[in-house]
Amino acid sequence: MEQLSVALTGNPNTGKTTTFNMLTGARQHVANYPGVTIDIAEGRIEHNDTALTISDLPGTYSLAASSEDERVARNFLIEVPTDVVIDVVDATNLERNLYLALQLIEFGKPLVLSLNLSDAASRQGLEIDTTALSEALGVPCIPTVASKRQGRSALLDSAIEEVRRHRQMVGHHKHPSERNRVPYGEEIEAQIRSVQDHLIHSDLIGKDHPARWYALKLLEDDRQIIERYHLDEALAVAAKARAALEAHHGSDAASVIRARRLAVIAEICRRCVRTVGAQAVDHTERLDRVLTHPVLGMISFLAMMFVIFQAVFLLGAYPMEWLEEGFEALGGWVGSLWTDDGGLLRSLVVDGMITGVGEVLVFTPNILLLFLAIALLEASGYMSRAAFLMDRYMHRVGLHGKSFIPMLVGFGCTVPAIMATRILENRRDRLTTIMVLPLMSCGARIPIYALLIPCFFPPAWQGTVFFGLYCAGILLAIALAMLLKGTLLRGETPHFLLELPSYRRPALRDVAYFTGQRTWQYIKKAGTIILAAAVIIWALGTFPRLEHDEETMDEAAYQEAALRHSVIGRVGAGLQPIMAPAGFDERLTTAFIGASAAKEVFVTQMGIIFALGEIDPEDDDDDSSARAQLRARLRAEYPPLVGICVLLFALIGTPCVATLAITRRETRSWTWAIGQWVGLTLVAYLVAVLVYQIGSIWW
Amino acid sequence: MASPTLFSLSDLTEGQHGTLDHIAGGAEVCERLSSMGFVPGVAVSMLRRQGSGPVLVMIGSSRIAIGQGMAAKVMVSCEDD
Repeated sequence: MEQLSVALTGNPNTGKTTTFNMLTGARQHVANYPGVTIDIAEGRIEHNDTALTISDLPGTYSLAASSEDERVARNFLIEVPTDVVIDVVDATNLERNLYLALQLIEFGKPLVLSLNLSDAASRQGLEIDTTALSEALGVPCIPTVASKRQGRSALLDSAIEEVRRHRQMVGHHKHPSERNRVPYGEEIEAQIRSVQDHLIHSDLIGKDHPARWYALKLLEDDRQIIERYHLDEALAVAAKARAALEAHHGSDAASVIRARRLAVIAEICRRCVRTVGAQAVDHTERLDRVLTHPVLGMISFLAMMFVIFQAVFLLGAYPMEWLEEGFEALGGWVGSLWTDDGGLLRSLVVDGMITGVGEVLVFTPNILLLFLAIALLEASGYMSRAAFLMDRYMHRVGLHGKSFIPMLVGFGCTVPAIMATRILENRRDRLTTIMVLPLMSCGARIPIYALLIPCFFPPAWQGTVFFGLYCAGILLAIALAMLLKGTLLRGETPHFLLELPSYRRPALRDVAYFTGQRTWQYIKKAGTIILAAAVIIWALGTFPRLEHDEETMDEAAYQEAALRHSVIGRVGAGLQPIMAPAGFDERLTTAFIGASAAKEVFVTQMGIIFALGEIDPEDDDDDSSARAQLRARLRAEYPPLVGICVLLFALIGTPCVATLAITRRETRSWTWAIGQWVGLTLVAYLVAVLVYQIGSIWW
Repeated sequence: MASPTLFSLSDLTEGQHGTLDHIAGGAEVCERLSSMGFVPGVAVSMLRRQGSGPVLVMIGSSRIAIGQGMAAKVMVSCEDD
């Protein structure tokens, strides 16, 4: 069977991901391309005896990239060999969308335009002559309605056909970018030719590369392309050609070329698009009157956030309880497979693996609900409104309005949040946002808060403390962002520029896909990093072993003694003097060492440290459950002040291993990754010490 | 008939509209804005202003939120009245 690779590109908000879901259905996975260093969703399908691999690139307005997302899309299009490109175009906004399409046409890869949202275009009274459009552009244009799965077959047929046509063409002609050329007029063409000839004769680019396209980039003085593809040698020739153009036209070469392109696009639209009938009523305008209003918009925004967080915790509580019971039952059942006490292996499986991973998986429902809410905000078109409203405030603290989006994701999990910073144009903004993201109370903080808050605070106060911790994280993030922007990452924050798409009814499939994928990432983390961490921590907390003399020690006392005897216990004891000013004793210090693998592990560690012995899965009585017993012990052992310090330390310090890894990958620097870990841990320490010392004066 | 006057996009009041004349900015800004639909001749209107924050404008059939500093570089011709 023939194998073809397809790249899916297009402006943001054109329904590109919906198209991807329409084309690939559920057969998707995330692929990692060398050089692109980013995860790109990939789907494999078969169509008419052809196997197609479809890659969903980040949305982009132009091949002149300004954000990391756009760079990824551009580098992929230029560097990854693909057989055909599908450009998803918003049929209601053809003229603007053709700007990218024309750049792609000039690039010369086999291309098909998917005129998505054709139904909306008809409703708005727009009539597009697709035959004339295809002819004018020299590429097939297929009307689609991705949300209703209309045009799927025609689009795929056309893509396959285009590859064949292209192959025949390559056999007979020069590089395909030579065909379908934008007519630039004689003077410009002459300069393109002079640069192009130089490129070909000097062997600066490969034979199969579109010389004309690179020549244009040199004329436009596209620094990113010139640098990335080492075209410096042609700079002198290009400068001469530019000077000639500028002398002739009286403005810079890039503007002259752009003006030509825009004129060609305008002419094509004039010929191919007709406006018939009246426009339908626009819901977006009416909704925006409230939702983008400086006052009403802010109120709506805060109300939405309140509802989302309430829903996440209230609705999430039920499935969470079932999962908790499930894992306890599983642990009990697996544990009962050993007839004797089972020794090391039983301990590894039950105490290490099932408990460790279970503690994390229990929070899957909360994570799922939060990601569902975020997916709905994104798919409905609201997310960019929130970024628009927040920009004034974010700007004041040195951040960008768009930083708000990763921060919201950060309440679910820091890892996808750090990935979401790719929408930021500026590296300094991106770094600042990444550095402070772990301060957003992620899902893994919840088990710690849920264990400790009821220990130390009366029921009436618990909600406030919970909310207070979230706010403390946000305030600290603001303070740290200001500090970073004032020192290490000083510099202008680029202007806010973001399209606010029309409001749309979220496509169920997209929302499900988005939610499912991110939740699955969380579950995968539990199955990989957390499982490994749980085993390592179990080992460090078990070895070197202590002989169990059953005559003198009961089981619980033995466990506690054994932990003290182990590597973790010894390290904890060693570090305790450092942690003492924050009110931490040896046991708390030990628990935090375990928690450096993943926040949630703190809870597991506390359970072991306080030697609660076996958890009876049959025991449904809340008061005697392991968690309640642990709370009782903690309440007896520590004053509330220490509780606050522990909560603050858990909020701020020791970002988890997954965060360390993703920060390293996204910043491409160990310095930033380690700097983040050390910096936040240091801040956590200082805050805890400060609170404890000042608090001690009163208590 | 009143003659059209050039304004900065950032100076438009809510509800005011005109056509985009040119962008008075560097190469990068021009390319970026052009790709988002800020091209000469396109209809422009101011939808929302909010203090010092970005403004929300209609460019052709796209709604774009744009920082005031950048909006200042977009020159719009409006009919005087």
